[in-house]
Amino acid sequence: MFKSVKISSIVINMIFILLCLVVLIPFMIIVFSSLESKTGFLKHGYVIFPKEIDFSAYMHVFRNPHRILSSYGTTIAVTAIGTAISMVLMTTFAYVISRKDYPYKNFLSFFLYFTMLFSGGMIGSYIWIAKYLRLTNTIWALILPMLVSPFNVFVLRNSCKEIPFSLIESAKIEGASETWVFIKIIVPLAKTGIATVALLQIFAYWNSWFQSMLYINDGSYITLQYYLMEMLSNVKYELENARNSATISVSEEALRMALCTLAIVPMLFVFSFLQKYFVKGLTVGSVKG
Amino acid sequence: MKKEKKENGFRTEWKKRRKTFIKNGELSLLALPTIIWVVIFSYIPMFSIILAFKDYNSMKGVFGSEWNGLDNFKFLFSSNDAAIIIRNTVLYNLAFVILATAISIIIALLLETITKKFFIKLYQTVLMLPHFVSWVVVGFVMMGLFNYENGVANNLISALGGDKAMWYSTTKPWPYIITSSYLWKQVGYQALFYYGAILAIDDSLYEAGKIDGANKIQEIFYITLPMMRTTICTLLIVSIGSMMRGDFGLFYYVPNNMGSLYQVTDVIDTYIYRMMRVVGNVGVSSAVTLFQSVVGFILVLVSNAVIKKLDSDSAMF
Repeated sequence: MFKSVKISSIVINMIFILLCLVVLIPFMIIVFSSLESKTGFLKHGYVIFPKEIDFSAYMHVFRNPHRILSSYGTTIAVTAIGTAISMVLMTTFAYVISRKDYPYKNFLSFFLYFTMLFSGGMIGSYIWIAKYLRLTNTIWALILPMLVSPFNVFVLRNSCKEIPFSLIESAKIEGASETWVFIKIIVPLAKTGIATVALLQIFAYWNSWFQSMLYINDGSYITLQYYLMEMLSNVKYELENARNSATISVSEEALRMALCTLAIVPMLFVFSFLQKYFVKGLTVGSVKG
Repeated sequence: MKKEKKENGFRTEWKKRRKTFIKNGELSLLALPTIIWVVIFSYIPMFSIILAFKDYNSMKGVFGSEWNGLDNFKFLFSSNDAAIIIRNTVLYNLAFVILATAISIIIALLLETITKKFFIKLYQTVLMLPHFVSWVVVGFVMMGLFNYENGVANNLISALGGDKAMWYSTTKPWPYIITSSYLWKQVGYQALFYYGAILAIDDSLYEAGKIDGANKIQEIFYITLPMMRTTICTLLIVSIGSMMRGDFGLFYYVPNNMGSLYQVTDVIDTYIYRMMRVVGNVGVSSAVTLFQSVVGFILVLVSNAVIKKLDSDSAMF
């Protein structure tokens, strides 16, 4: 009996190790292909496993770092401003609709839920934001459309619901205002849920490319994703840049993969460290939308 | 006399409403910024669906453009495109829902058997990683895999002595490539929800099962899966509701927007984008959007009603 349990646990662990390897292959292609020299690339092409370790692509990026640094700057600005505003909007609203004594909670929940069921689609948003609000080529076009995600609001509402109502009641009996209750009681107690959603929102902003695709057309705000998009659609783009800077001892393909690596690595680190909040925050009562 | 009473009743009713409104004023004020955002960025754009019945002219604007009745729909459904994009969207989504649900439940069940916390965390982290990169990045992976001259796939083929394949001009492998890309990105993340649902199951149920002599497989089918049904149903309703929506990034960047592959990779959302930005036919684009929204809406209501009938606790509303 004991032995059979042990064997099955080894098999299950093997399955997971295999699965993890498969999941990691795409990342390996990006990272290890970026570590090839020009001659190496001509010989091996794109690789899954490292054939050589050569940093010339990275050296090239950092020799002329203006573009990559400015796109990091834009991405960080969009992510920071966006996440901050978005968290204020979503937590306040989520708290209000989580209050069981608030008479309009059902109406407001449905008001938000309906937008998950029915929408004007990308046409509606595009015409409204570009033609009427005239946000094209402003940083607000990258921030405003993504501020509120109904799904995240419902995750936050569930976290707020976990807080005993008696705490809110007793604070109010002592004469606390709603805003005070929200800041001093709700935010600290719902912090796991808030951290989870904040992380989701950080990723959403960091990885967003669709807003850039629709609303940025003169290169005024180039985010990392926009930069990557440009390189994916325009094969010779970086090479031309490289020609301008005279020295091209770098393989264009490795260079592209290097930029891609630089765009994903910071987030993968952030994620690995904050992953533990995820499991808790997302699964707390997230069962019922 | 009677009239007066009625008026009084109306007045007190109105007073009461006003009182509750004022009493909850601060809470409403807290919710107000989000309400304004939702109106501006979700409700107002909904009006654009009227463009489905108009010949849109950007100079005249949404309301100034001429009505053209059902012309946009006639154009759409008389072309071959409608059938292709609807078929692709629905079939891919069906494959996604069935495979992703099954695989992520299996992963969650297997994960639950692992006792060492370190390994659970490690596997979860790695499997969830793909969810946190963008489709643009996946586009780079695809380039590395399927590039004709230097791609990993063709290198492997020529190392084995075969002829290099023209990946971007043969439609056959793409349904598999797209489905795998979706599963790669989604399964680990979805498994998290199912794993959470498994952890939430009361241990005493398993103890009772053991006393009754249930083995591991019976435990899964008679305790674990039935207890997870609310989670499964919720995620299913959400998926069925988005049956008509194709993930734009997936279908745009994985096949690298290759025209030669549209037959098997074009979905409703990529078509809407192309009609709007490349072709410039906003009317047809809106017609597709309206069709998509209405069918999606009906699907949610129907699937919710069906689930309510089968098991009223698991329905969403």
